Amino acid sequence: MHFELIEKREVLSALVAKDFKARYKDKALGRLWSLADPLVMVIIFTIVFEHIFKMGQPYFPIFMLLGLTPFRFFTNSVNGASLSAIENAQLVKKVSFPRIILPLASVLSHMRHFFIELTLVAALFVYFTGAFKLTINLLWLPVLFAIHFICIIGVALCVSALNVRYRDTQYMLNSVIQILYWMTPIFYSFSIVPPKFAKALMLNPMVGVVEGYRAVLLGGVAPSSTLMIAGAIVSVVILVIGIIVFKKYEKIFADYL
Amino acid sequence: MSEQNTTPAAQMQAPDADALTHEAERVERQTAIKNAPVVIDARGVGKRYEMHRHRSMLLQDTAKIAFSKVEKNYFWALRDVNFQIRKGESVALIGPNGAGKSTLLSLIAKTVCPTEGKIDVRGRVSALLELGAGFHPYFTGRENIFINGIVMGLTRAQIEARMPEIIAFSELEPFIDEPIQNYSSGMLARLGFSVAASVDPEILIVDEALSVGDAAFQEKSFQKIQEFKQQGCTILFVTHSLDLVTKFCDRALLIAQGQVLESGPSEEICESYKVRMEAGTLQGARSPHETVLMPFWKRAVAMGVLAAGLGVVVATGIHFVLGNTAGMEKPAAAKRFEQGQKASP
Ligand SMILES: Nc1ncnc2c1ncn2[C@@H]1O[C@H](COP(=O)(O)OP(=O)(O)OP(=O)(O)O)[C@@H](O)[C@H]1O
Ligand SMILES: [Mg+2]
Repeated sequence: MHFELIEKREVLSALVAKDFKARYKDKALGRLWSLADPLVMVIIFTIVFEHIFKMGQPYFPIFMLLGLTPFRFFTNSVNGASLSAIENAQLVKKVSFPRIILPLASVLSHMRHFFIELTLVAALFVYFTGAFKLTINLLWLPVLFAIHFICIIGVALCVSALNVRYRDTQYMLNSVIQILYWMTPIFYSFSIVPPKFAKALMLNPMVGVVEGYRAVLLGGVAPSSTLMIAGAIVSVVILVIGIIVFKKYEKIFADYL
Repeated sequence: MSEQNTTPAAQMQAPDADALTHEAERVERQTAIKNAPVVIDARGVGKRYEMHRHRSMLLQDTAKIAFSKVEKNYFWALRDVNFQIRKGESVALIGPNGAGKSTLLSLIAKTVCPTEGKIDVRGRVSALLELGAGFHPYFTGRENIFINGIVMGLTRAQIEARMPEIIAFSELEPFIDEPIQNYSSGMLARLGFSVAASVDPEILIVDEALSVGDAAFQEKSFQKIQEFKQQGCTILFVTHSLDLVTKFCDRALLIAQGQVLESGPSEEICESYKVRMEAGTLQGARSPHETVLMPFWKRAVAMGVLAAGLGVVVATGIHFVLGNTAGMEKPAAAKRFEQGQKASP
């Protein structure tokens, strides 16, 4: 399967481009829309938390964007992957190609978007704080991104295959994402979580990822190793489950579309 | 025809000479095919589909699992199918609706996996499976050609080089940059065939797709298929037009109820198909179903889940209604509620 994937990388990149394009096809302002969405959220949350509750988090908009952007990469990829086989049903039913390309293309196309958003966050960062903290700890970024990516691919494989067989997967997924949204330190910091809940929260790999990005980019320090190791272990477990589930269902994709 | 210009004598001779050369060509072709390698080999192939399948995992299904005796109903769309096709052969699959022809073609195109048996296919397959052929409605004709070409195994550069040729063949230039959701079904068939024909197939599969094309395009497509045939391409063809079968195909497989009933020269098989149809002895889909009983453990688990769910609901209810009379600490909400009651006159 993996050999085939290397052979078919042209298919993958064509589907990534197609997915990226399809998302903005019907929208007048194209991809500007998808940038407006997080910006509106950040503005509202900044008003609420900084000016009404007076939480006193330094650089709150950046702080929040560093949580929101990686989380949106997660939710958008996973949502996109859950629909990837259904949206490409015509292709699945009529041409034979490694099915794993479908969720992968969806994730990679959102990864492209994530990098665009990150660049904008970096620009805002410089605007707010004046300069980057260029420390050796920036080398942790690839490690954090790897955990982030593995977690996303694992969930994406799982839901894309399950949704072909059980169409309510995407609705359940929406509920789960709602819960995860509050269980990820997006507009709060992990340090304010009472120790009673902290352990349970660590099962969510996005906690380690978001806190890691913040530590490295905002604080200029190394990420917490406990959070990172917990995130890495859970992500790998999710990936293994995802591969098993995908293998089980990929053979019957065309039967159920 | 051009008979008007020929002398009566030539007129008498021409058909005979024609028939002779045709016969000679036919024999030559048949011996060539007999010695050619096998490119499609089906051994004991079967495909089973689930019937009235449920597609959700929610509570309603937990109840279904807990209380129904049957887990699944299966239906065999194909069963015990054995045949071989040699390189360069052109073979028609004929049979009534629901016989399993399209299913068999999807198995050969490897978009569907067989439930049992093995099917070996050697060579690059280009499949035009039923109407439309792998197209995304919001994208333009050009973008669809691109994606399809890539998925069928062409490289980016190859598609770009062939693009003008593909568009010219489809005769869709004025609409090629329109989203294909605005195409007519015949236009889609044109697009589909043009792409399928552009990938240098070694095995070409055509499933009824051409029937919606107009006469001119059908003629053009068959000429193209004829060209492929001459180049030694293996062709598999599903159609309900028996004239086309006798005209184009060396061999035909008669399929009904998920099985290959007969295989042989196309004229013979078409005759036999007509006779059987008139006698009314052919049925499309296979009727016998297979049911799988719900395994005991699944029912046990589902009952457990239902019981647990019920238990939680009842326990919460008791907890709230009876408060600490049951020896439990009164929940905060209940206390607040009581306090509110006391406070208000
Ligand atoms: N995805 C599927 N799920 C369930 N049943 C299916 C599926 N695809 C096909 N079938 C069933 O398999 C049987 C064979 O279908 P198939 O499409 O192969 O028939 P066909 O010979 O091509 O008929 P036609 O001449 O109408 O095109 C039919 O009874 C059909 O209902
Ligand atoms: Mg059919």
